[in-house]
Amino acid sequence: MIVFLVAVFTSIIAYYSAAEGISLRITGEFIFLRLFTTQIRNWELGFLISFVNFTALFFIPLIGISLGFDAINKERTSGTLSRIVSQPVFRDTIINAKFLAGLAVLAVMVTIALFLTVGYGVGLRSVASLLGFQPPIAFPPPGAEELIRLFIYFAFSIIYGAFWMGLAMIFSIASRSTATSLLTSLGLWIFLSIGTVLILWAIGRTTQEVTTLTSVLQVTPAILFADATNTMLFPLGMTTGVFVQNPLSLGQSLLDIWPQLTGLISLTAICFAASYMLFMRQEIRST
Amino acid sequence: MNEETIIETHNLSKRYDNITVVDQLNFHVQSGEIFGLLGPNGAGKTTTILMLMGLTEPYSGNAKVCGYDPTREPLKVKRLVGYMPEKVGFYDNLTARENLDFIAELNQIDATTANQTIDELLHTVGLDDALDKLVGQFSRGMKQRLGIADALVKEPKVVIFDEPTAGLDPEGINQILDLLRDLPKKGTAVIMCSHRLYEVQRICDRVGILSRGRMLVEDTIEHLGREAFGGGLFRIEVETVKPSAQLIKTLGDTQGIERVELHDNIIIISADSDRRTQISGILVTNGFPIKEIKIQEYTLDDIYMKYFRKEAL
Repeated sequence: MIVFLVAVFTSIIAYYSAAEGISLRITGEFIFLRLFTTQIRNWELGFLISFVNFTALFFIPLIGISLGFDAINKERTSGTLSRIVSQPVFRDTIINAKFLAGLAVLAVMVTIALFLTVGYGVGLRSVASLLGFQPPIAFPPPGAEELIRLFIYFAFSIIYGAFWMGLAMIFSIASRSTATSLLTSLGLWIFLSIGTVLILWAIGRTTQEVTTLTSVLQVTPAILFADATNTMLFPLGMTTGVFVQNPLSLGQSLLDIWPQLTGLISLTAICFAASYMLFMRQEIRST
Repeated sequence: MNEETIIETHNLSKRYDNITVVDQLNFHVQSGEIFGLLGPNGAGKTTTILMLMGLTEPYSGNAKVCGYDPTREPLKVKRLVGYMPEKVGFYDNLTARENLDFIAELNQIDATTANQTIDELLHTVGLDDALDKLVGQFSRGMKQRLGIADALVKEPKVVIFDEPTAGLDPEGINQILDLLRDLPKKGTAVIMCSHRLYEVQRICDRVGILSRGRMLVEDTIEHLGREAFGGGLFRIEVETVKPSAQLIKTLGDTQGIERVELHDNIIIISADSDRRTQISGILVTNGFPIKEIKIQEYTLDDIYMKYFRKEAL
């Protein structure tokens, strides 16, 4: 329920950000996707984060953590886990089920947020005029390539969410109290998302060089995800490092984010493998 | 009912970080009996159960449950063994029936059979009215009874109850014990773990006393009494006035009396059965008055204390 409200909130933020942003800068191609990537960084208008960056930093990690942090230890403390493990099912079935169920919920939540934003986009012109914005341009319906890019974005978000869920699940297996596992996962989330972004930003302001630190920070999941999705959804601007004049083709975009994609998948796999191993070796007592 | 060995262990041991929790355990459980595993907290009862269920691996030795090794074939064992953990828990947002349905599903029991079994079981444990109530609204005693039904859903050959009466009021305890006592009639063997003597004494056929991971004794309660005291099962105290040595000797020579001790004016006799008539007869014919005569059956309590005193020495 709360997660659902967050999804609605996300799409509203995205809408405002995009609506104001688009009204400022009008560009020719992939306008529909700009709905997801436009953000405002302007002292007069204020700061509004784009849909992509908001989901990368807040929305998906929070859903992932909320789905994973009490997956095992809640069942342990309520005494249901020791009942389940004494039934004739393999132990990996239990953890696989937890993971798959989490993925399903995650997929539903991301879909809701995406569809809400798409819905706003389709109705942008009429809604914008209602809210007092000048309808910036003739807003075309999304093209086929835009939809494919959105779908890739969707698949990528699921993997990204699975990473956070897997991470939270490790703590839910390792720690017996849900409070500990929640705080640990939230702490890591703040460090890995917001912390690294701030550090990168600070480094970017002081030096222009790529230091070892920045390259290490580049592989944190939030940055990987944000880089990849921004490239995927905003083929006109800064891709993962190089500025391109002409929009990249879909294949080129995919090629461009390939390192990010594999990096994120392997991080997710590591998280899942770790929680799997921990759980398989653990002794489950009722007390 | 033909007796078959359902559970047997051979030198079953478990160590955690060089601390031996269960040490060379040997015992067996027959079908259709109630076996009580008795021991203070931390004696290794739960660890033993976990090894029997294949939930943890033994350090050495092995166990056979219904002919299967729980370490190698845990799924087969889990299919045949019902287990009610000490702190049994249910999904609070599901009803009693849904909770049991879920367990039946995990055991791959088809829905029609499962429904029938669940109806019967909930009737047996007296939860007919609460069938479709959320478990979150259940009292502790109801949850415990639901736990018994839960362990029986898969129609197991043996059920293991770990402290089934923990935290219940006397009435709740009685209900649970009555339920457990009736289980062997349906051919299910029962293992009950407890640190409460009178519960075990009330329903168990045989008892194993566990202390610091070792099985001190394993026998029927009746035999245990004899073994522990090297005397009879009954203890008779007679209070008289100035008993003579001759009287003690006469009493000691009487058939059925195994030991006579004298504490001031009180003669303590252990006998194999209720010998009060003979004893009072001897006293009266020898001219000693009887001020008081008391008989006491050895309870598991005495046996227990005796063993633990021995252990402490």
